[in-house]
Amino acid sequence: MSGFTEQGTSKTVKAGELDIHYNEAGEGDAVIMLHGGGPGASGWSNFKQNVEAFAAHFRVLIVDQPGFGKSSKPMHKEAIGAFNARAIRDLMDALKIDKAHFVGNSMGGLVSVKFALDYPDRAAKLVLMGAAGTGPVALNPQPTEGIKTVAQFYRPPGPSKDKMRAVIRALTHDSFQFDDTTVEERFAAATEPETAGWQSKMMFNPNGAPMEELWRDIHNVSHPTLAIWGREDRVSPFERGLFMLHRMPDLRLHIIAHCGHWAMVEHPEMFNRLSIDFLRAV
Amino acid sequence: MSNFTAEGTSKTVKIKQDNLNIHYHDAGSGDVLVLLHGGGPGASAWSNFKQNIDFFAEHFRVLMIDQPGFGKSDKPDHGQGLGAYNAGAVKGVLDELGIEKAHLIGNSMGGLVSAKFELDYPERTDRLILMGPAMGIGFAVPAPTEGQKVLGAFHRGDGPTKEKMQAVINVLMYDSSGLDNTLLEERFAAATEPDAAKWQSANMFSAKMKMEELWREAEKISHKTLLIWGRDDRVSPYERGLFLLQRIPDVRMHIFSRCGHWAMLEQTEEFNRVCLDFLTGA
Repeated sequence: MSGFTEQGTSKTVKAGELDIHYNEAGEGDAVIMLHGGGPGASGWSNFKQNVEAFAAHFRVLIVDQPGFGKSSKPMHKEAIGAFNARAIRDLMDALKIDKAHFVGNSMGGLVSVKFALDYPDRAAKLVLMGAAGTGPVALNPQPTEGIKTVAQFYRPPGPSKDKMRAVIRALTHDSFQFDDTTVEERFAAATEPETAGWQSKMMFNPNGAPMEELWRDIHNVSHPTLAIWGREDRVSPFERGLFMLHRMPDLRLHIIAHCGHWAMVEHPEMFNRLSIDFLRAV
Repeated sequence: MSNFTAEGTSKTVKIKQDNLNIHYHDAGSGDVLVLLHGGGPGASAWSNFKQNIDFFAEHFRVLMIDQPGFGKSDKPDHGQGLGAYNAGAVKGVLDELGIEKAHLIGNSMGGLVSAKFELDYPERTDRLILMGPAMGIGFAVPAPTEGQKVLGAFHRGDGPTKEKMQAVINVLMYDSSGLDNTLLEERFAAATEPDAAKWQSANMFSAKMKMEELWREAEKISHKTLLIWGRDDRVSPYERGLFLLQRIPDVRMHIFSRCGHWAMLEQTEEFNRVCLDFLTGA
């Protein structure tokens, strides 16, 4: 799929108090890619099919956010957006990166927007796929079908491969093909003991870390932003993008048919071209 | 604004349908891309797309066609559905030029005609880009829309004035304050040219106007389709595109903030890029 391997691009750096793991490839302006918050998610698992196309133009940093992949898994009560955005800022400080574009999926979209709010001078452009928290939901039943499915994963009687298959199915459009390897990989990542402990306590848990209702503040994000949405996103419905369209000063919304919550995985070629051309445009 | 001139690209062809003389602009080489203008007073192919011709002619053979009733084409009182009649005229042009297949980009009425062309001549169609096409159905915005009312008023009452034309331009665009008077003068002259004025006041925005309700057939559009909309489109509000987004089988929708009914003029660079990505991409 890619000339780049996870191992060959794998790096870890001390960012503030945390060890942050990331995969780095390519040269040029920095693009920070932020994965979603579902069970088994990590930077590489979300973006491995995009790294080659982006690395041809940019210095790509695919970051495991706190609690995910090979990064530290701190328990905290702070809101996820603010906490993770600060960790990214610390990572950029450690790597002496002044400014970066952000590509964020779901929770990673929320973190990207929060980063732009908290550290506006350090963010260039934003690409958000099925962003979380950036719009209220008015037309879809809540919690959404996708959120319900994802939240079931760690609940009794505990994780199973069937549940993981149901998670991937709820995250993607029916036309998306995936094999047992994908299920195995995400299942293994999600059930790694430290990850499972962090996830079940911190995410999809009423007593875990909260997520900001970022839609209250998004009118303050003036960075050029491309919101990409799957028409069949059952986790974070595209109507959120309509709200953003009316609140964010420099937004374009691109909705794709036959696509769920994972535009970068489900339609990589289309996604790469759209995003890269948007980021490269003067 | 353009290396190509209206004069240097100007051609006329006689087609079989009612022996019409159809005027068009021909530039570039490669796959054929047909551009179809809207139906407002003073509209013509050149006036709608002059800022896009240089870009598209680098990649395609561009045909910007004056539809029957507009510009330098014949102005027949045909009494037929506008979509079917104009689609027939476009096919007539392609027949005379020996062109088998074309991409189509249509604005407003031109979007309706592009979609009707696809439905009537699918084997002659490649990909479709519909900008604020006059073929959606709305749920929330009162009809006739503010823009339709302003357009319809141009020839009514005491007849055309420059103030009315300014009102037309203002309602078509998100922000027309950056324009000098060139567009106003051009469109006013075109709209008040006696044959054009006579045809327009009899055939457009009148009880005689027959436009097909193409939203009824959106699910039959079998080619890849990109919907482009301005968030601030007061003529054909973007909510009309949400219906099409759910009905056209292979569809994407791109919505610009700070953009009205004329994405190709208001967001020229980004419009060009998004179109090219779609026409040549996966």
